[in-house]
Amino acid sequence: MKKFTLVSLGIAVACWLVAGISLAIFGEKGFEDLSQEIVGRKLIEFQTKAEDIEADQIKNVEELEVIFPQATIEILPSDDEGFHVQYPGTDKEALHGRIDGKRIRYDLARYYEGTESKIVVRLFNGNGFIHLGDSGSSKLTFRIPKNIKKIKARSETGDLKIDSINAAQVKFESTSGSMKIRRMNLSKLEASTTSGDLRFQGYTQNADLKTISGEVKVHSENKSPTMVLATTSGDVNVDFEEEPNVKFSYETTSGELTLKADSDLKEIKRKDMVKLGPAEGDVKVKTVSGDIRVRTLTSF
Amino acid sequence: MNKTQFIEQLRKALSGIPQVEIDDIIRDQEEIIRDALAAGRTEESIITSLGNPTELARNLKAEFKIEKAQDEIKLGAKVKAMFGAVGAVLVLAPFNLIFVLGPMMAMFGILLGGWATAVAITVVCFTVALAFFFFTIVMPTGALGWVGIGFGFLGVMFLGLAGLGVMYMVSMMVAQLILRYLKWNLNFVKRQAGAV
Repeated sequence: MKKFTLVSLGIAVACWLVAGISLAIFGEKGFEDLSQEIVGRKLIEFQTKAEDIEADQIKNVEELEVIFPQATIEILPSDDEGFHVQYPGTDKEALHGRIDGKRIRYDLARYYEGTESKIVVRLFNGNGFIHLGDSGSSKLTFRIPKNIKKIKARSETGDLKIDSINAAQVKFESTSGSMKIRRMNLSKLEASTTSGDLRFQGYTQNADLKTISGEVKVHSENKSPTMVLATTSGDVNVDFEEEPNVKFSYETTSGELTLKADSDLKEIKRKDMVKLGPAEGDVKVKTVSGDIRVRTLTSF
Repeated sequence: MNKTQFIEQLRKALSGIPQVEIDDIIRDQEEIIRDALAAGRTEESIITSLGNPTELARNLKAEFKIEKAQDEIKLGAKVKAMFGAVGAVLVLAPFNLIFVLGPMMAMFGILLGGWATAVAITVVCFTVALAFFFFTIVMPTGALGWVGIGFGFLGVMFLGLAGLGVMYMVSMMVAQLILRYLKWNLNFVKRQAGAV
């Protein structure tokens, strides 16, 4: 039995030697690659890829619809009337468009939709779909021509940023993503999110912005818009570039109210309607515990 | 009681041990009686000094069983014989329930724990090592890593096997110690009974 014990010990030491050598060769990099594979995300080198559609192929398109789970979507004006999208991608996966008569379709595995007048881009993470880098850092940049007048965006946690687009209507729905729209001239703006912030700077005739715990911030160049701004626990800030010409209705249960318009401080109640100027527009603000601030920038 | 009756009763009381051993013991007792008679003692006094044949048989049986257990080479047989010896010693005196059974149960418990640990380490590490070697097929990216970890666990498995070897040797040692203790206990009981 002594012999058996000693032989077993000897084999144990030999096994540990083999283990040590194997792990030393495998190294830290090996463990990093392995853990990435186990977690399901490969260490992928992403490049900036682009997809371009010529102007004459896109001229009939009027609507852009983007459905994305987590990436940040940025929409900017195109320089050349063509349709361009830039995104982090790999050699294996790519966004690619298919042109079929009047229909333009972005094909991502089996999931796509297309109509005669709109592009729908669906973006997913996981096998079989496009990898857009780290879900926390991936960003798609669209440069769209003037003929696209309607933008619809839907996300789970992704943010939407639009700057200086000639669109007329924007609709955004998200769970926790935020929206930031600047320098736009819209006829209609609709946005709803649960915990994201909603920010708009520009001219809009009609705005319906709703969030539960996020913030609503509007910088309106239109002095008589029709707006409904609602939040449960977030704050609502409305800044007018000129003296507002609206019927202003507000309601808050426990938030603070600051109303500075016509250079006059008005008496504050929990729920009230105030006429500012001839009151051609209609602004309704509602929050439960958030603060409301309405002001005219020229009054400072 | 005369010599013939004494030997008859002793032979009966010795049943349970091999016949060869019984014959040896009877021969020894007859020699003791013969030597004492030759020295001039009466048969009656010799028989009286030898004591109750049933009690004498119990002591002799216990002694035989202890020696038999000590002679065993393999652990399994030794332990089996040791339990036989313990049983024979326990009936000699009531206090042996505490002084023999108590320490024995304690040692047995400790040894069992040691065996269980060594077996568990061996079995678990073998299974885990196999699993890691299997990963080299399922997830070849980390093949070298899996092999390294697998060999690590294999090493611990062999350590467990070495532990089993150590437990074997320790168990043999403990069994020998217990048998020595039983022998001492037997002599103590004999002295108390005035049989020596």
